[in-house]
Amino acid sequence: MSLSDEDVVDGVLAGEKELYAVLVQRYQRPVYNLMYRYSLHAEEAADLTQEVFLRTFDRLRSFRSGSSFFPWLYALAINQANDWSRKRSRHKVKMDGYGQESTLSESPADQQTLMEAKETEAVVDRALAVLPVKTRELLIFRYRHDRSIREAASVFKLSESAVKMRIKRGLDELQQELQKAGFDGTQGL
Amino acid sequence: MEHKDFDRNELERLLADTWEREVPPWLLTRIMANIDDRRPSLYERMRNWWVRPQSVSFSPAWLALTVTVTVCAFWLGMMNGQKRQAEIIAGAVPALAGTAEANYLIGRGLLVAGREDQALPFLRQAVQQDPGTAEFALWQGVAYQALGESEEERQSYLFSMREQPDYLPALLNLGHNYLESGQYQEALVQYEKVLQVNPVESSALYNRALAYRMLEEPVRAEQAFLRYLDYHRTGKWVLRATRHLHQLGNFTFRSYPIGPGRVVLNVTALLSQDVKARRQELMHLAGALSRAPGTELHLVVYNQGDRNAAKASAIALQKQLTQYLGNGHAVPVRGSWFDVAESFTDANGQERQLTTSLLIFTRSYEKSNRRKSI
Repeated sequence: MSLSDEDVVDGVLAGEKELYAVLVQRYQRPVYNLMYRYSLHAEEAADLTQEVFLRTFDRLRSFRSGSSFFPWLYALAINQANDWSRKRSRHKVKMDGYGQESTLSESPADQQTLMEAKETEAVVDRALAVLPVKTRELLIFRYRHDRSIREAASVFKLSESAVKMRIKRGLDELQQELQKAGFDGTQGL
Repeated sequence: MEHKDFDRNELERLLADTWEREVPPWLLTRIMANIDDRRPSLYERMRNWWVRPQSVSFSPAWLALTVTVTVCAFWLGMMNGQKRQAEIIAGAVPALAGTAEANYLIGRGLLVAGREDQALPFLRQAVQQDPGTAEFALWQGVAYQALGESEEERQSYLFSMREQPDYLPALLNLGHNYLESGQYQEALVQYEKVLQVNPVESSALYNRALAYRMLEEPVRAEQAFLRYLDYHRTGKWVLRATRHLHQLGNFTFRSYPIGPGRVVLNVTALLSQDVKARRQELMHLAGALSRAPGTELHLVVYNQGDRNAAKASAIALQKQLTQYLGNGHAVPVRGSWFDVAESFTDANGQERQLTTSLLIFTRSYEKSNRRKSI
């Protein structure tokens, strides 16, 4: 039987630092994808993911035993992504006169990978990208990561009824976007 | 085009099954290497000491000692909070690695942690070990940039391009470097090279226009900002580009409040007879409207001295937009027209008058239908 997240956390806190690799292995994919959706840049997403796991490691003592590890980690990751967005926009303001927008572009390999994604998934991704960021992330957390309303409420710091309402509204918007896209593989948004 | 309706379950299934990017295979190793380098900070070590079980017996000397230790711990904690990064650096900088790849990854990790001065030796070592990899020299340049060493930064990008002359990130960063140091002509050369590789590169298009402005070449600046807006319509740089154009006396693009946000549209295209040109702009508008439910849209066309032309434009726009929004769309579209010039405030807050123009705004649907009774 594999170790539970809580067992791993206890082990790390007891000094077995190498056990932390288990948590990184389990959750690096959702965190990396979250960061990619914010940064739209593979290297940047990797750097941000690393930062999230290092911060999480530093704060491991504040993780409350008995609660789920993933929502706790995800809440830290969302905060990190929002901080990054804010800093990035501040940087842009600072650079006002010279408007340096970004230092690196997405690599052709990533674009190629994206193009090779299944058509339906690409259409859904494009439709998701049109939604407000918080709504998009709420839908992904709820359905892609199969998490409860209660967990979503704690991660996004909303009441459970607000989460339900936003999810309903988000699904409606997503449906409209998909219908606009035709979903026949011939036209994007 | 065939349309397909989704029920709620199908949507949920699509969301659950959507594709995710693969994590870079080296990420786990890099994270764990950084974890291994970490040691508890002074604050954490003191906290661990403080929270461990201790037997306390009361005596005046013990009380005095406890208070002293508490005050010292608090003070050290405060000091350490400010110097924590430096503490980590002092205790945890790894030695240079044997391979270029390892030095590069460590350097990148240190850059992410904001330790640029520590990152630089690793990135330099990576370049020395493998001068043929353009990416290593590029990131050496990024580290120099973070340290404010502009000349070394530039040399790094130039070095990077020796091996790969069309390496886009290095071309772009070199352009930014020239622009920041006031060498606008050189910056333009680099941005042109970037645009040959990628004609829609956002920052190259925008910064090229800025360089022309700095060189006081208004006509070229205007054309360059127009080109930027032809390709890009989201983000705050779009609003800035619109402001620059208005300062240059060009009102081809205007920014309109749609619901909670703003959308920048090409007014000339919208008022033209070209259905295809209007289509692109109306699709931008339709996208913005989808994020503003509960509103109604007003399209107001001005054409000084020609009421019929104004009316024809308003009706054509209204019809075409309604068509794109589809049957049963949530946002009613109202059209109106005037045979006078429009007075408006431009993106820089200046009062303007345009003989032919278009005003677009949204109002709350409930508010606009509210009946007033006396």
